[in-house]
Amino acid sequence: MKKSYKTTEKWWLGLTVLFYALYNVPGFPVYGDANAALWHGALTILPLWIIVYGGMAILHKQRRLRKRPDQSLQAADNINTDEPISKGGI
Amino acid sequence: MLSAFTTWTLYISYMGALIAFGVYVWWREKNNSARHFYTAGNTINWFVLCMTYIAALMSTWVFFAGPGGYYRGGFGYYMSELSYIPLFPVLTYFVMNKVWLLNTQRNYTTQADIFVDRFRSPTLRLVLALVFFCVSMPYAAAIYIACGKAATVATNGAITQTSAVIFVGLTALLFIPFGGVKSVAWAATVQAWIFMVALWTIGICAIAYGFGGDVFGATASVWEHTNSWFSYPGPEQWVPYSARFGYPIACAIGWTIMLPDVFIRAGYFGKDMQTQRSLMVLQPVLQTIVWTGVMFIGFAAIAMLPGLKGGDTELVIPLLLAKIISPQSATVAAILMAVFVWGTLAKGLSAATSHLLVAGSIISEDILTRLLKLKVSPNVHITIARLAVVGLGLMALWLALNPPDLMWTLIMFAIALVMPIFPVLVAALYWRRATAPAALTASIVGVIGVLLTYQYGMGDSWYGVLGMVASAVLMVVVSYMTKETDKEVLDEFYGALAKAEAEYYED
Repeated sequence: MKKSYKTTEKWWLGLTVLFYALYNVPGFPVYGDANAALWHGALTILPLWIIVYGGMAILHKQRRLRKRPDQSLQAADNINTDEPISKGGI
Repeated sequence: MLSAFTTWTLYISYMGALIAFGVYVWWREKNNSARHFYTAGNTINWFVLCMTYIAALMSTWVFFAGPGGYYRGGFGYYMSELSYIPLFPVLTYFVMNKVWLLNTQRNYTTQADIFVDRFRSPTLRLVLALVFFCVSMPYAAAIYIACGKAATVATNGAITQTSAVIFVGLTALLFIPFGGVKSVAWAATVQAWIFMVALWTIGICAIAYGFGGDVFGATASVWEHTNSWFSYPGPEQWVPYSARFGYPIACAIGWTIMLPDVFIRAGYFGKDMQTQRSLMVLQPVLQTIVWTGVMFIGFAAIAMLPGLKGGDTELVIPLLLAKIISPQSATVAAILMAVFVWGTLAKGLSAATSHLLVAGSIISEDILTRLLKLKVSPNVHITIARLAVVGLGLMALWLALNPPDLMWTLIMFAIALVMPIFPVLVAALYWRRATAPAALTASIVGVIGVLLTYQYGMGDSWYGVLGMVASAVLMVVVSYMTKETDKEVLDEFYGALAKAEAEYYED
């Protein structure tokens, strides 16, 4: 079964790209027109912010995190972290 | 406006507190590995992560060229900022959270580590190390210069730029090697608050003294006298279409994701996935607070000091204090000048120390440990890491005292220079067919593309967009033309990602 967050991810990314592209449509707003510039910003940038935060809220709700024990500083310090991350080819 | 004694007192007390804090963190943390020294190894909580990220992201630009940029670019420039800021959560979700997940399994230290883990190419490590080093070092040096400039401006030349630069550079040198990235991150948390409060205090006071606190009156004045401030391409034609498109893309990808000091914060610092999510939610808000404050100062300046040209626009804060506030209250102006100096120091130090640590990790980890295969005990390794930072700190100081022309060019396109590496990162995370020769070709040609963009005078408008497009195309074409990566290598890399996702997500 397809996971619900996968669909949300696609819509979130698609709508973000769409409204970012709308903000960047060449020729709009015309140069030197302050009213047009403000309307253009209101109609593209505000929806962009709403989409990003709305989509993020839905995604975080759908894709829940596992509850994990707090990784203490001491535990992190004990990891032998100086080993090369991957041996082959480096 | 400030006496040399007052300014030196500010500098010495601030730097003394910083060094004391570095020593305290050194004593408390006892960094026992280079990875912990450079990246804190996935132990930074959400609050410190958000604050150190915003502190590393911003530079002294917010006190000099930033307000000048809004002065010249107008409200359209601000809207360009608002168009890319919300892209951060999306880019973090699809890219940087995967980097973070991989890091929990693979223990990366430098930015190049993740690329080499996927493509297994020492040559790619060398290329990326060079690119990221060229980006980090001049940045640190330029910030020292800005701190020196702030002291000189604040004291009307009573303190020379050279003496202030030496003082700031040496203090940073004493501070970073002790506590490593953890002391930098915690100090940056305080420093971020200082510079944000400083910005807004200066902007609000300017409007309070210049327009009696009447923001609407100031807006009406600008609308009537400098209407072009509200439209594209701005009062000085600063935001034509190419800049409106190229600049936000460069900021979204180059500046907030790919610059080494912010990359390791978004990818290697956070202690859990909830911390990553907090970063996604809060970072656009914090960026908006900073940019709105900077815009507000530029707006106050265009309302009260119209007609400034060239380099004068970069000094709108001292000019507002001297010409608008000082005639009405010399005391308030002096206090605000101290706030300006303090804010510049806070901002400068947090960014410079971040860049120095990254540059140190490139030398000690990428070059000495990985490429030259230096085999030493952990204690010697951490000493080498500290010495690398000290050496580079001295080099940054020397650069700040003797800035070559090329350094300013490097700073100008630092955010552009790292943009072609982004398609390589995306391909590494999502595309099994991507190959090492493609990653190498895309990185080299993309960076050369950015250099050519600047060479032919299009850099100020297009930044790294053309280089990034070339890199993306080459990544695909060369991958299909070259032999597939070994299945074993791919399974190891993507298996680690899948394992981390299973550990941190419920489904």
